[in-house]
Amino acid sequence: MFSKRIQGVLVLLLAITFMLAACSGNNGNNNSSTGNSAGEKTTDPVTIRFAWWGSDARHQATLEAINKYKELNLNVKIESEYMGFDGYSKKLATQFAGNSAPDLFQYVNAFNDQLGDFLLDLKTTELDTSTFPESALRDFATYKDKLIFIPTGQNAFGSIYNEAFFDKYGIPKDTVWTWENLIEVGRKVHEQDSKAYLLSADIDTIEKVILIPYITQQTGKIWINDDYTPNFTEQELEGAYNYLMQLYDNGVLEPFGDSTAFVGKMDQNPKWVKGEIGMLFDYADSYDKYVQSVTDGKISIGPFPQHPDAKQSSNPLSAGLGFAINANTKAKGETAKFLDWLVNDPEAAIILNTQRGIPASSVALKALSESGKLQPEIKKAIEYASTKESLPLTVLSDNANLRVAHEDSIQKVIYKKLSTKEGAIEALTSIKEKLEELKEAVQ
Amino acid sequence: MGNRNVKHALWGLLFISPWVIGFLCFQLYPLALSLYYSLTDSSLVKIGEFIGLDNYVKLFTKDKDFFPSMRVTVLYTFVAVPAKLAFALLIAVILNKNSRMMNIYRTVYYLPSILGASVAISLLWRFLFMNEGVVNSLLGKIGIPSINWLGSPKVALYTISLLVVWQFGTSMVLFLAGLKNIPAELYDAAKVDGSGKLRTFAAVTLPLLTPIIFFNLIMQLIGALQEFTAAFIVTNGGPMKATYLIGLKIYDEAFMQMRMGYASAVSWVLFLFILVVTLLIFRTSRYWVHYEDGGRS
Repeated sequence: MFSKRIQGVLVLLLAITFMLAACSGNNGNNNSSTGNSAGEKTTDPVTIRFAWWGSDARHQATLEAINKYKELNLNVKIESEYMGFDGYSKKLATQFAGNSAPDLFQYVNAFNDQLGDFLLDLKTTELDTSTFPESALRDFATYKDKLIFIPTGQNAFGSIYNEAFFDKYGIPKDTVWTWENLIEVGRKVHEQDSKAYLLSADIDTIEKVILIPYITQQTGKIWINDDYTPNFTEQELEGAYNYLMQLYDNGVLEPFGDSTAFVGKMDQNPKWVKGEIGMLFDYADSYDKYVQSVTDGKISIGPFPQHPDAKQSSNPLSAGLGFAINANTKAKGETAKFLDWLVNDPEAAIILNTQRGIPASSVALKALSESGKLQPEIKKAIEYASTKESLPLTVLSDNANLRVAHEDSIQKVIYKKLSTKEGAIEALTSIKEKLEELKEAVQ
Repeated sequence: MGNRNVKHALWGLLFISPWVIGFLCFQLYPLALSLYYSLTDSSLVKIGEFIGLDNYVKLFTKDKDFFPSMRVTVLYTFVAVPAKLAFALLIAVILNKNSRMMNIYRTVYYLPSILGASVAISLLWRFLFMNEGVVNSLLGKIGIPSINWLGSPKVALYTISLLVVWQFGTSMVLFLAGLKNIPAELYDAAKVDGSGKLRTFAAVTLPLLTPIIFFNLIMQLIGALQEFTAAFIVTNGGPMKATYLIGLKIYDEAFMQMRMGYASAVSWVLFLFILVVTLLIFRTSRYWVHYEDGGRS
């Protein structure tokens, strides 16, 4: 047996270890002070950590804006943390759990469920919100009566197309797309060249940009009600699935097995890069990444497809993307000042251009318009969307958990493991189950 | 215990304390914490309430993904581990020759294992095996039609298994060490008895390598049951969840759905599964693992 001295040493070692372990522990609840702008002197050196996601073009523009701000404010150091969208929300949530989240970060209201409680109420800062449309702040940026982020710009879906492809297959560039003529034109393209497809879409795009609008344009309702009930029937789902299968059967859509390796990265799809795909559906502010991916050929944005007798376009002007401030930031005043400059300063507006949509701030929009640098293609997409009536996109309709549940059934239909009817039954059941879970979680 | 022994013991404890502290802080403490979290409804950003075994009950009774995911994981293990071990053994036998260039060959063959199942290699794999990738283009040149390596639910799992087989180096080095340890006189005796190459391999080499096979099998099995990177980067669990390994499910639960408590429960079930499988293999080892000293040491 060990002597008492040895036992004593062991106990001591264990105590030290547990002390260390306890020190490293974090209870996950960030309750420390929220910083105080009153005590900050603007000339004191201050460091702001700023995180965002995006394409190279967005990174370049944002870095340029940061450099400009640092020139104007020599006491401010800004640490940039940027990446693609993949994994961004997970990284941010992990950082909040570890109490190491950045001071300022790009945010989208789909994160509200997880992160809404950790964000600073921007009404408590000196950020000028009077330049923003009240409806945008109310409908997109408010959570539990707090203004949790500031929208960077207006955005909408568009059909991003390769002009050279349209020329090659004789497709008029001013085609007003309907779900029906998409099949006619797409079939002809594929008949002419078995390697060419009018359209490609990953599973997220199929769910969010094809199937949901296909149904909600007919019903004129939002996808999911605020009381956690679905706003569509099994028959409506089945109809949309039948339409999707027509797209595949007629060679309109690139086969799912070929495009599935490029979820969220369709700009890397070799067929798109080679000009063998004519059109993709995406948010207008992604335009630049598609331009960069195709070396020969002009990329343009056209309107989003619609039923001829649609009750709504299902392509609302969205202002769900923006910038939020960490409630625990130690540099509340300086961060808000920097954010104010980013979204309201004319010079910043010109540098940032439409990298996050058409600026929502009236000052920024005016400056950008007057500079003549407003990206015409993105402006066009927003104009297309604004001319059609649409219900606003609700946070619940855009919920990631619901999307995952729905996408499972969609894939089974595409791979013909389920008929469109069986798929619709399964999807509706799964979505209802998920909605129940989500409802329980907030109660 | 004398003063001298106490002093020795204290010095010993002092020297091992970095490891002990590391073990307690970074292994035991997180392990205990995850066991506790598995009994709560914690999210990634908030510690939840204690809910007893609810997560485990839900996992076995309500979760539609759990059993299919386990099935895929087991299938993947059944494919990847034997393929990797067989390939590693084959290469080890080839490299177990005395040649001046052999050291270079051994290094080259070990290289893929140094690169590991990293994100970069997984991305490379995606570009090699995508529909218009290098592999299909090479197959096309010899008249074999394209295979949808990543887009077909029937093929995708085997494609990511190949990525693991490609990293056979560590097992190969162990086999090589085992081959070097087989006494030359046994081969001489076999030769005298008129045994052919294949017969010698089956009657001499293989039985004497069984301890190494056993070790490699256990290590690779544990690794395969926890595989994550290949399925995450190359196929992201698809298509149609054909490569939705349990490691990926744990990740999704924790970081996509933010259900850290539930993810912890899945992890513990996986841990127990690996424990049972490992114990079973240990049990069977007495029937097929041959030790020269009869396993006494």
